Amino acid sequence: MLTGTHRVKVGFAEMLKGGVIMDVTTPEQAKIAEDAGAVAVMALERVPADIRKEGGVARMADPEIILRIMDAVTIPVMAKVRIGHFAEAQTLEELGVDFIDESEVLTPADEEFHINKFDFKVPFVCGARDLGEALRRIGEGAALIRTKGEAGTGNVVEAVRHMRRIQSQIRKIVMLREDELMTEAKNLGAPYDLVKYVHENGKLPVPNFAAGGIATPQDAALMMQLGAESVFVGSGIFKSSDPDRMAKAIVEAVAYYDNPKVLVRVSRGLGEAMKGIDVTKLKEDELLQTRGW
Amino acid sequence: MRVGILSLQGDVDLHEKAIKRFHKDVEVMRVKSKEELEKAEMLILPGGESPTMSKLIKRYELKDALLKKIKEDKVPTLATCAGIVLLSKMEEPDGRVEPLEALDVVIMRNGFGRQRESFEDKVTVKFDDKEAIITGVFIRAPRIKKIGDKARPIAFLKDEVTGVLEENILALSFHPELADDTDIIYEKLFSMVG
Repeated sequence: MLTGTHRVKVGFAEMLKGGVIMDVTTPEQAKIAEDAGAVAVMALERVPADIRKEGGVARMADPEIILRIMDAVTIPVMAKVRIGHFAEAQTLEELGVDFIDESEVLTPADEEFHINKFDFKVPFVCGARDLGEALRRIGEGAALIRTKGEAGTGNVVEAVRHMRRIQSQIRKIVMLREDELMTEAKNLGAPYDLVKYVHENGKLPVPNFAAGGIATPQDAALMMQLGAESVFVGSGIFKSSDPDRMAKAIVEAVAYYDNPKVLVRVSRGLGEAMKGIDVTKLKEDELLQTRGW
Repeated sequence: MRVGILSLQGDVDLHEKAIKRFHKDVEVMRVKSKEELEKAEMLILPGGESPTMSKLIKRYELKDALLKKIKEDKVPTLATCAGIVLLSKMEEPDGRVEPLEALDVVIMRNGFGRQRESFEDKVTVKFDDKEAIITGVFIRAPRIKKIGDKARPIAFLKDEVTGVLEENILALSFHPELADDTDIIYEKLFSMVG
Protein backbone atom coordinates (compact mmCIF):
# COMPACT_ATOMS: atom_id res chain seq x y z
CA MET A 1 0.00 0.00 0.00
CA LEU A 2 1.48 3.33 -1.11
CA THR A 3 0.31 6.68 0.27
CA GLY A 4 1.28 10.18 -0.80
CA THR A 5 2.32 9.16 -4.32
CA HIS A 6 2.32 11.62 -7.18
CA ARG A 7 -0.68 9.80 -8.65
CA VAL A 8 -2.64 9.98 -5.40
CA LYS A 9 -1.85 13.70 -5.01
CA VAL A 10 -2.54 14.84 -8.57
CA GLY A 11 -5.47 12.41 -8.78
CA PHE A 12 -7.07 14.20 -5.85
CA ALA A 13 -6.59 17.56 -7.60
CA GLU A 14 -8.36 16.04 -10.64
CA MET A 15 -11.35 15.17 -8.41
CA LEU A 16 -11.76 18.85 -7.51
CA LYS A 17 -12.21 19.94 -11.13
CA GLY A 18 -15.36 21.78 -12.12
CA GLY A 19 -15.88 22.93 -8.57
CA VAL A 20 -15.60 25.85 -6.18
CA ILE A 21 -13.25 26.03 -3.20
CA MET A 22 -14.46 28.58 -0.68
CA ASP A 23 -12.59 30.50 2.03
CA VAL A 24 -14.22 30.07 5.44
CA THR A 25 -13.30 31.28 8.91
CA THR A 26 -15.85 29.46 11.09
CA PRO A 27 -17.59 26.05 11.20
CA GLU A 28 -20.87 27.84 10.42
CA GLN A 29 -19.43 29.33 7.25
CA ALA A 30 -17.99 25.92 6.33
CA LYS A 31 -21.49 24.42 6.62
CA ILE A 32 -22.92 27.14 4.37
CA ALA A 33 -20.20 26.38 1.82
CA GLU A 34 -20.84 22.62 1.97
CA ASP A 35 -24.61 23.07 1.70
CA ALA A 36 -24.13 25.33 -1.30
CA GLY A 37 -22.14 22.61 -3.07
CA ALA A 38 -18.50 23.66 -2.57
CA VAL A 39 -16.00 20.88 -3.44
CA ALA A 40 -13.74 21.98 -0.59
CA VAL A 41 -13.25 24.75 1.93
CA MET A 42 -10.12 26.74 2.77
CA ALA A 43 -9.93 27.15 6.54
CA LEU A 44 -8.61 30.58 7.55
CA GLU A 45 -8.54 32.96 10.50
CA ARG A 46 -9.21 35.94 8.26
CA VAL A 47 -10.28 36.16 4.63
CA PRO A 48 -7.81 37.96 2.34
CA ALA A 49 -9.84 41.20 2.33
CA ASP A 50 -9.47 41.42 6.12
CA ILE A 51 -5.79 40.43 6.01
CA ARG A 52 -5.32 43.31 3.61
CA LYS A 53 -7.24 45.73 5.82
CA GLU A 54 -5.76 44.77 9.16
CA GLY A 55 -2.11 44.37 8.12
CA GLY A 56 0.49 42.79 10.43
CA VAL A 57 2.07 39.37 9.86
CA ALA A 58 -0.42 36.89 8.40
CA ARG A 59 0.32 33.33 9.52
CA MET A 60 -1.11 29.81 9.39
CA ALA A 61 -4.51 29.64 11.12
CA ASP A 62 -4.88 28.38 14.70
CA PRO A 63 -5.14 24.55 14.58
CA GLU A 64 -8.23 24.81 16.81
CA ILE A 65 -10.10 26.73 14.10
CA ILE A 66 -8.99 24.29 11.43
CA LEU A 67 -10.00 21.24 13.50
CA ARG A 68 -13.44 22.69 14.22
CA ILE A 69 -13.96 23.28 10.53
CA MET A 70 -12.77 19.74 9.74
CA ASP A 71 -15.35 18.42 12.22
CA ALA A 72 -18.15 20.49 10.72
CA VAL A 73 -17.96 19.26 7.12
CA THR A 74 -17.33 16.06 5.16
CA ILE A 75 -15.87 17.76 2.07
CA PRO A 76 -12.08 18.26 1.88
CA VAL A 77 -10.53 20.96 4.04
CA MET A 78 -7.55 22.98 2.84
CA ALA A 79 -5.44 25.45 4.80
CA LYS A 80 -2.72 27.97 4.02
CA VAL A 81 0.92 28.17 5.07
CA ARG A 82 3.42 30.96 4.50
CA ILE A 83 5.73 30.60 1.51
CA GLY A 84 8.77 28.55 2.61
CA HIS A 85 7.35 27.76 6.08
CA PHE A 86 7.69 23.98 6.12
CA ALA A 87 7.11 23.76 9.89
CA GLU A 88 3.64 25.26 9.40
CA ALA A 89 3.14 22.66 6.65
CA GLN A 90 4.26 19.84 8.96
CA THR A 91 1.69 21.07 11.48
CA LEU A 92 -1.12 21.04 8.91
CA GLU A 93 -0.14 17.58 7.66
CA GLU A 94 -0.22 16.26 11.23
CA LEU A 95 -3.68 17.83 11.69
CA GLY A 96 -4.90 15.85 8.68
CA VAL A 97 -5.68 18.79 6.41
CA ASP A 98 -6.45 17.47 2.91
CA PHE A 99 -4.60 20.07 0.82
CA ILE A 100 -1.99 22.71 1.77
CA ASP A 101 -1.92 26.08 0.01
CA GLU A 102 1.60 27.57 0.10
CA SER A 103 0.17 31.01 -0.29
CA GLU A 104 1.27 34.53 -1.13
CA VAL A 105 -1.78 35.75 0.81
CA LEU A 106 0.14 35.07 4.04
CA THR A 107 3.38 36.90 4.87
CA PRO A 108 6.28 34.97 3.31
CA ALA A 109 8.60 33.16 5.74
CA ASP A 110 11.35 32.79 3.15
CA GLU A 111 12.14 35.28 0.41
CA GLU A 112 14.31 32.91 -1.58
CA PHE A 113 13.04 29.34 -1.30
CA HIS A 114 9.69 27.58 -1.40
CA ILE A 115 8.81 24.38 0.48
CA ASN A 116 10.07 21.08 -0.94
CA LYS A 117 6.62 19.67 -1.41
CA PHE A 118 7.89 16.16 -2.21
CA ASP A 119 8.65 15.82 1.52
CA PHE A 120 4.92 15.64 2.28
CA LYS A 121 2.18 13.05 1.80
CA VAL A 122 -0.44 15.78 1.68
CA PRO A 123 -0.69 17.54 -1.71
CA PHE A 124 0.13 21.22 -2.19
CA VAL A 125 -1.42 23.96 -4.29
CA CYS A 126 0.66 27.02 -5.22
CA GLY A 127 -0.07 30.30 -6.96
CA ALA A 128 1.48 31.40 -10.24
CA ARG A 129 1.41 34.51 -12.42
CA ASP A 130 3.09 32.94 -15.43
CA LEU A 131 4.13 29.59 -16.85
CA GLY A 132 7.68 29.71 -15.50
CA GLU A 133 6.42 30.21 -11.97
CA ALA A 134 3.82 27.43 -12.40
CA LEU A 135 6.44 24.96 -13.63
CA ARG A 136 8.91 25.89 -10.86
CA ARG A 137 6.23 25.12 -8.27
CA ILE A 138 5.37 21.82 -10.01
CA GLY A 139 9.11 21.08 -10.09
CA GLU A 140 9.07 21.45 -6.29
CA GLY A 141 6.18 18.99 -6.04
CA ALA A 142 2.98 21.06 -6.25
CA ALA A 143 0.00 18.87 -7.28
CA LEU A 144 -2.19 21.81 -8.30
CA ILE A 145 -1.61 25.32 -9.64
CA ARG A 146 -3.88 28.32 -9.29
CA THR A 147 -3.52 31.78 -10.70
CA LYS A 148 -2.56 34.28 -8.04
CA GLY A 149 -4.77 37.11 -9.22
CA GLU A 150 -4.82 39.80 -6.55
CA ALA A 151 -6.44 38.29 -3.46
CA GLY A 152 -8.82 40.27 -1.29
CA THR A 153 -9.65 42.86 -3.94
CA GLY A 154 -12.87 41.44 -5.41
CA ASN A 155 -11.35 42.51 -8.72
CA VAL A 156 -10.88 39.76 -11.28
CA VAL A 157 -8.53 41.69 -13.57
CA GLU A 158 -5.29 40.16 -12.27
CA ALA A 159 -6.64 36.59 -12.33
CA VAL A 160 -7.63 37.19 -15.96
CA ARG A 161 -4.18 38.55 -16.74
CA HIS A 162 -2.44 35.57 -15.15
CA MET A 163 -4.70 32.94 -16.73
CA ARG A 164 -4.40 34.47 -20.20
CA ARG A 165 -0.64 34.73 -19.82
CA ILE A 166 -0.24 31.09 -18.76
CA GLN A 167 -2.53 29.82 -21.53
CA SER A 168 -0.77 31.89 -24.18
CA GLN A 169 2.67 30.75 -22.99
CA ILE A 170 1.45 27.13 -23.19
CA ARG A 171 0.26 27.69 -26.78
CA LYS A 172 3.62 29.19 -27.69
CA ILE A 173 5.56 26.20 -26.30
CA VAL A 174 3.37 23.79 -28.24
CA MET A 175 4.37 25.64 -31.44
CA LEU A 176 8.11 25.61 -30.79
CA ARG A 177 10.53 23.20 -32.47
CA GLU A 178 11.97 20.63 -30.09
CA ASP A 179 15.46 22.14 -30.43
CA GLU A 180 14.11 25.44 -29.13
CA LEU A 181 12.79 24.02 -25.84
CA MET A 182 15.99 24.26 -23.80
CA THR A 183 16.39 27.98 -24.43
CA GLU A 184 12.70 28.45 -23.68
CA ALA A 185 13.20 26.58 -20.40
CA LYS A 186 16.14 28.89 -19.60
CA ASN A 187 14.11 32.00 -20.42
CA LEU A 188 11.12 30.85 -18.35
CA GLY A 189 13.31 29.71 -15.47
CA ALA A 190 11.48 26.38 -15.62
CA PRO A 191 12.67 22.76 -15.48
CA TYR A 192 13.39 21.44 -19.00
CA ASP A 193 11.47 18.17 -18.61
CA LEU A 194 8.34 20.04 -17.60
CA VAL A 195 8.68 22.43 -20.55
CA LYS A 196 8.94 19.34 -22.73
CA TYR A 197 5.80 17.91 -21.12
CA VAL A 198 3.91 21.10 -21.96
CA HIS A 199 5.24 20.98 -25.53
CA GLU A 200 3.98 17.42 -25.97
CA ASN A 201 0.67 17.68 -24.10
CA GLY A 202 -0.43 21.30 -24.55
CA LYS A 203 -1.28 21.61 -20.85
CA LEU A 204 0.29 21.74 -17.42
CA PRO A 205 1.12 18.34 -15.88
CA VAL A 206 -1.28 19.16 -13.01
CA PRO A 207 -4.71 20.84 -12.95
CA ASN A 208 -4.84 24.62 -13.25
CA PHE A 209 -7.43 26.53 -11.21
CA ALA A 210 -8.21 30.24 -10.89
CA ALA A 211 -7.99 32.39 -7.77
CA GLY A 212 -7.57 35.96 -6.65
CA GLY A 213 -10.40 38.47 -7.03
CA ILE A 214 -13.32 36.28 -8.14
CA ALA A 215 -16.47 37.89 -6.68
CA THR A 216 -19.47 37.09 -8.91
CA PRO A 217 -20.91 34.10 -10.81
CA GLN A 218 -19.84 35.85 -14.02
CA ASP A 219 -16.26 36.20 -12.76
CA ALA A 220 -16.23 32.46 -12.12
CA ALA A 221 -17.71 31.64 -15.55
CA LEU A 222 -15.20 33.98 -17.21
CA MET A 223 -12.26 32.21 -15.58
CA MET A 224 -13.65 28.78 -16.55
CA GLN A 225 -14.00 29.89 -20.16
CA LEU A 226 -10.44 31.23 -20.12
CA GLY A 227 -9.21 27.75 -19.23
CA ALA A 228 -9.47 27.47 -15.45
CA GLU A 229 -10.54 23.99 -14.35
CA SER A 230 -12.08 25.15 -11.03
CA VAL A 231 -12.17 28.35 -9.01
CA PHE A 232 -11.14 29.43 -5.55
CA VAL A 233 -13.37 32.13 -4.09
CA GLY A 234 -11.80 33.92 -1.15
CA SER A 235 -13.47 37.00 0.25
CA GLY A 236 -16.10 37.01 -2.52
CA ILE A 237 -18.66 34.88 -0.71
CA PHE A 238 -18.67 35.94 2.92
CA LYS A 239 -18.08 39.62 2.06
CA SER A 240 -21.18 39.66 -0.17
CA SER A 241 -24.62 40.73 1.10
CA ASP A 242 -26.12 37.21 0.88
CA PRO A 243 -23.33 34.60 1.28
CA ASP A 244 -25.63 31.57 1.09
CA ARG A 245 -27.10 32.62 -2.27
CA MET A 246 -23.78 33.87 -3.62
CA ALA A 247 -22.15 30.52 -2.76
CA LYS A 248 -24.89 28.54 -4.54
CA ALA A 249 -24.83 30.91 -7.51
CA ILE A 250 -21.09 30.55 -8.01
CA VAL A 251 -21.28 26.73 -7.71
CA GLU A 252 -23.89 26.65 -10.50
CA ALA A 253 -22.00 29.21 -12.57
CA VAL A 254 -18.92 26.97 -12.51
CA ALA A 255 -20.82 23.77 -13.35
CA TYR A 256 -22.70 25.49 -16.18
CA TYR A 257 -20.05 28.09 -17.08
CA ASP A 258 -20.87 27.89 -20.78
CA ASN A 259 -24.63 28.34 -20.31
CA PRO A 260 -25.70 32.03 -20.11
CA LYS A 261 -29.27 31.00 -19.18
CA VAL A 262 -27.93 29.62 -15.92
CA LEU A 263 -25.86 32.76 -15.37
CA VAL A 264 -28.98 34.91 -15.72
CA ARG A 265 -31.05 32.74 -13.42
CA VAL A 266 -28.48 32.56 -10.59
CA SER A 267 -27.70 36.30 -10.73
CA ARG A 268 -31.22 37.72 -10.59
CA GLY A 269 -31.70 39.57 -7.31
CA LEU A 270 -28.47 38.14 -5.97
CA GLY A 271 -27.70 41.22 -3.88
CA GLU A 272 -24.40 43.01 -3.63
CA ALA A 273 -21.07 41.42 -4.37
CA MET A 274 -18.15 42.44 -2.18
CA LYS A 275 -17.21 46.07 -2.64
CA GLY A 276 -13.79 45.54 -4.16
CA ILE A 277 -10.68 47.58 -4.80
CA ASP A 278 -9.21 49.14 -7.94
CA VAL A 279 -5.94 47.22 -8.25
CA THR A 280 -4.20 50.14 -10.00
CA LYS A 281 -4.71 52.20 -6.82
CA LEU A 282 -2.68 49.70 -4.76
CA LYS A 283 0.94 50.59 -4.06
CA GLU A 284 3.64 48.15 -5.17
CA ASP A 285 4.22 46.97 -1.59
CA GLU A 286 0.49 46.34 -1.13
CA LEU A 287 0.40 43.73 -3.89
CA LEU A 288 0.30 40.10 -2.76
CA GLN A 289 0.94 38.59 -6.19
CA THR A 290 4.60 39.65 -6.28
CA ARG A 291 5.35 37.29 -3.38
CA GLY A 292 6.86 34.02 -4.65
CA TRP A 293 10.11 33.33 -6.47
CA MET B 1 -21.46 4.62 -29.56
CA ARG B 2 -22.16 7.73 -27.49
CA VAL B 3 -20.65 7.64 -24.01
CA GLY B 4 -22.17 10.19 -21.65
CA ILE B 5 -20.02 11.32 -18.73
CA LEU B 6 -21.99 13.03 -15.99
CA SER B 7 -20.12 16.35 -15.93
CA LEU B 8 -21.60 18.32 -13.06
CA GLN B 9 -18.23 18.15 -11.33
CA GLY B 10 -15.24 15.82 -10.99
CA ASP B 11 -12.54 14.01 -12.94
CA VAL B 12 -14.38 14.01 -16.26
CA ASP B 13 -11.19 14.65 -18.27
CA LEU B 14 -9.47 11.48 -17.09
CA HIS B 15 -12.54 9.36 -17.78
CA GLU B 16 -12.72 10.75 -21.29
CA LYS B 17 -9.04 10.01 -21.82
CA ALA B 18 -9.35 6.47 -20.42
CA ILE B 19 -12.41 5.64 -22.53
CA LYS B 20 -10.78 6.96 -25.69
CA ARG B 21 -7.57 5.09 -24.93
CA PHE B 22 -9.52 1.85 -24.71
CA HIS B 23 -11.88 2.49 -27.61
CA LYS B 24 -10.89 5.03 -30.25
CA ASP B 25 -14.24 5.20 -32.01
CA VAL B 26 -16.50 6.32 -29.21
CA GLU B 27 -18.12 9.72 -29.09
CA VAL B 28 -17.80 11.23 -25.63
CA MET B 29 -20.55 13.58 -24.47
CA ARG B 30 -20.34 15.73 -21.36
CA VAL B 31 -23.74 15.38 -19.77
CA LYS B 32 -25.23 18.17 -17.65
CA SER B 33 -28.91 18.17 -18.64
CA LYS B 34 -31.85 15.79 -19.13
CA GLU B 35 -31.69 16.31 -22.90
CA GLU B 36 -28.02 15.36 -23.06
CA LEU B 37 -28.57 12.42 -20.75
CA GLU B 38 -31.29 11.06 -23.02
CA LYS B 39 -28.80 10.65 -25.90
CA ALA B 40 -26.25 8.58 -23.97
CA GLU B 41 -25.81 4.91 -24.88
CA MET B 42 -23.33 4.31 -22.08
CA LEU B 43 -22.99 6.26 -18.85
CA ILE B 44 -20.07 7.15 -16.62
CA LEU B 45 -20.50 8.63 -13.15
CA PRO B 46 -17.05 10.02 -12.35
CA GLY B 47 -15.15 10.67 -9.14
CA GLY B 48 -15.37 14.01 -7.41
CA GLU B 49 -17.34 15.34 -4.48
CA SER B 50 -20.62 13.46 -4.12
CA PRO B 51 -22.33 16.23 -2.06
CA THR B 52 -21.66 18.72 -4.86
CA MET B 53 -22.95 16.35 -7.54
CA SER B 54 -25.96 15.36 -5.45
CA LYS B 55 -26.99 18.99 -4.93
CA LEU B 56 -26.71 19.76 -8.63
CA ILE B 57 -28.67 16.60 -9.53
CA LYS B 58 -31.42 17.89 -7.25
CA ARG B 59 -31.35 21.52 -8.41
CA TYR B 60 -31.34 20.53 -12.08
CA GLU B 61 -33.89 17.72 -11.60
CA LEU B 62 -31.74 15.00 -13.10
CA LYS B 63 -32.64 12.23 -10.63
CA ASP B 64 -35.52 10.66 -12.55
CA ALA B 65 -33.70 10.90 -15.88
CA LEU B 66 -30.63 9.20 -14.39
CA LEU B 67 -32.74 6.44 -12.85
CA LYS B 68 -34.60 5.89 -16.12
CA LYS B 69 -31.34 5.65 -18.07
CA ILE B 70 -29.75 3.27 -15.60
CA LYS B 71 -32.67 1.14 -14.35
CA GLU B 72 -35.12 1.15 -17.29
CA ASP B 73 -33.00 1.65 -20.42
CA LYS B 74 -30.26 -0.31 -18.64
CA VAL B 75 -27.38 1.35 -20.46
CA PRO B 76 -23.96 0.00 -19.41
CA THR B 77 -22.91 2.22 -16.51
CA LEU B 78 -19.53 2.71 -14.86
CA ALA B 79 -19.58 4.42 -11.46
CA THR B 80 -16.34 5.27 -9.67
CA CYS B 81 -15.76 6.70 -6.20
CA ALA B 82 -18.32 9.54 -5.88
CA GLY B 83 -20.25 7.68 -8.58
CA ILE B 84 -20.77 4.60 -6.41
CA VAL B 85 -21.77 6.89 -3.51
CA LEU B 86 -24.49 8.45 -5.67
CA LEU B 87 -25.89 5.04 -6.63
CA SER B 88 -25.75 3.23 -3.27
CA LYS B 89 -27.54 3.55 0.03
CA MET B 90 -25.75 5.52 2.73
CA GLU B 91 -24.67 3.74 5.91
CA GLU B 92 -25.23 6.95 7.88
CA PRO B 93 -27.59 9.17 5.88
CA ASP B 94 -26.93 12.79 6.84
CA GLY B 95 -28.68 14.69 4.06
CA ARG B 96 -25.41 15.79 2.45
CA VAL B 97 -25.93 13.28 -0.32
CA GLU B 98 -29.33 12.11 -1.54
CA PRO B 99 -28.37 8.86 -3.24
CA LEU B 100 -30.32 7.37 -6.14
CA GLU B 101 -30.32 3.96 -4.44
CA ALA B 102 -30.00 2.21 -7.76
CA LEU B 103 -27.50 -0.27 -6.40
CA ASP B 104 -27.96 -2.98 -3.76
CA VAL B 105 -25.00 -1.74 -1.73
CA VAL B 106 -24.56 0.21 1.51
CA ILE B 107 -21.70 2.67 1.45
CA MET B 108 -19.74 4.84 3.85
CA ARG B 109 -18.29 8.03 2.41
CA ASN B 110 -14.56 8.64 3.02
CA GLY B 111 -14.47 5.20 4.66
CA PHE B 112 -10.71 4.85 4.28
CA GLY B 113 -9.96 8.27 5.82
CA ARG B 114 -8.86 11.69 4.66
CA GLN B 115 -6.48 12.56 1.82
CA ARG B 116 -3.44 11.75 3.97
CA GLU B 117 -4.69 8.14 4.05
CA SER B 118 -5.43 7.99 0.30
CA PHE B 119 -3.44 5.21 -1.35
CA GLU B 120 -2.77 2.97 -4.30
CA ASP B 121 -2.55 -0.80 -4.02
CA LYS B 122 -3.10 -3.96 -6.06
CA VAL B 123 -6.74 -4.90 -6.58
CA THR B 124 -7.91 -8.26 -7.91
CA VAL B 125 -10.76 -8.06 -10.40
CA LYS B 126 -12.77 -11.25 -11.05
CA PHE B 127 -15.42 -11.77 -13.69
CA ASP B 128 -16.85 -15.15 -14.76
CA ASP B 129 -14.53 -15.49 -17.70
CA LYS B 130 -11.60 -13.37 -16.72
CA GLU B 131 -9.41 -12.29 -13.82
CA ALA B 132 -6.68 -9.64 -13.48
CA ILE B 133 -4.63 -7.79 -10.89
CA ILE B 134 -4.81 -4.06 -11.47
CA THR B 135 -3.76 -0.84 -9.74
CA GLY B 136 -6.48 0.51 -7.49
CA VAL B 137 -6.17 4.22 -6.71
CA PHE B 138 -8.27 5.09 -3.66
CA ILE B 139 -8.75 8.83 -3.03
CA ARG B 140 -10.74 9.72 0.10
CA ALA B 141 -12.54 6.64 -1.13
CA PRO B 142 -15.92 5.31 -0.02
CA ARG B 143 -16.04 1.94 1.71
CA ILE B 144 -18.53 -0.75 0.76
CA LYS B 145 -20.16 -1.81 4.04
CA LYS B 146 -22.91 -4.19 2.88
CA ILE B 147 -23.70 -5.96 -0.35
CA GLY B 148 -27.23 -7.12 -1.07
CA ASP B 149 -28.30 -10.18 -3.09
CA LYS B 150 -28.55 -8.35 -6.39
CA ALA B 151 -24.97 -7.07 -6.42
CA ARG B 152 -22.04 -9.38 -7.09
CA PRO B 153 -18.56 -8.61 -5.68
CA ILE B 154 -16.00 -8.31 -8.49
CA ALA B 155 -13.07 -6.30 -7.10
CA PHE B 156 -11.04 -7.13 -4.02
CA LEU B 157 -8.42 -5.30 -1.96
CA LYS B 158 -7.05 -8.33 -0.13
CA ASP B 159 -10.36 -9.69 1.25
CA GLU B 160 -12.30 -6.46 1.16
CA VAL B 161 -14.81 -5.87 -1.62
CA THR B 162 -14.07 -2.65 -3.52
CA GLY B 163 -16.25 -3.16 -6.57
CA VAL B 164 -19.55 -4.78 -7.58
CA LEU B 165 -21.48 -5.70 -10.69
CA GLU B 166 -25.28 -5.44 -10.63
CA GLU B 167 -26.94 -6.07 -13.98
CA ASN B 168 -25.72 -3.19 -16.20
CA ILE B 169 -23.92 -1.30 -13.41
CA LEU B 170 -20.20 -1.68 -12.75
CA ALA B 171 -19.46 0.25 -9.57
CA LEU B 172 -16.04 0.73 -7.98
CA SER B 173 -14.82 2.58 -4.90
CA PHE B 174 -11.49 3.31 -6.67
CA HIS B 175 -10.41 5.02 -9.89
CA PRO B 176 -9.65 2.82 -12.93
CA GLU B 177 -9.26 6.04 -14.96
CA LEU B 178 -6.18 6.96 -12.89
CA ALA B 179 -4.22 3.82 -13.84
CA ASP B 180 -3.27 2.39 -17.22
CA ASP B 181 -3.49 -1.33 -16.37
CA THR B 182 -7.27 -1.38 -15.93
CA ASP B 183 -8.41 -2.61 -19.36
CA ILE B 184 -10.37 -5.48 -17.79
CA ILE B 185 -12.84 -2.91 -16.41
CA TYR B 186 -13.41 -1.29 -19.80
CA GLU B 187 -13.60 -4.67 -21.58
CA LYS B 188 -16.42 -5.64 -19.23
CA LEU B 189 -18.16 -2.30 -19.69
CA PHE B 190 -18.13 -2.54 -23.49
CA SER B 191 -19.11 -6.23 -23.38
CA MET B 192 -22.41 -5.12 -21.82
CA VAL B 193 -23.39 -3.08 -24.86
CA GLY B 194 -26.54 -4.73 -26.21
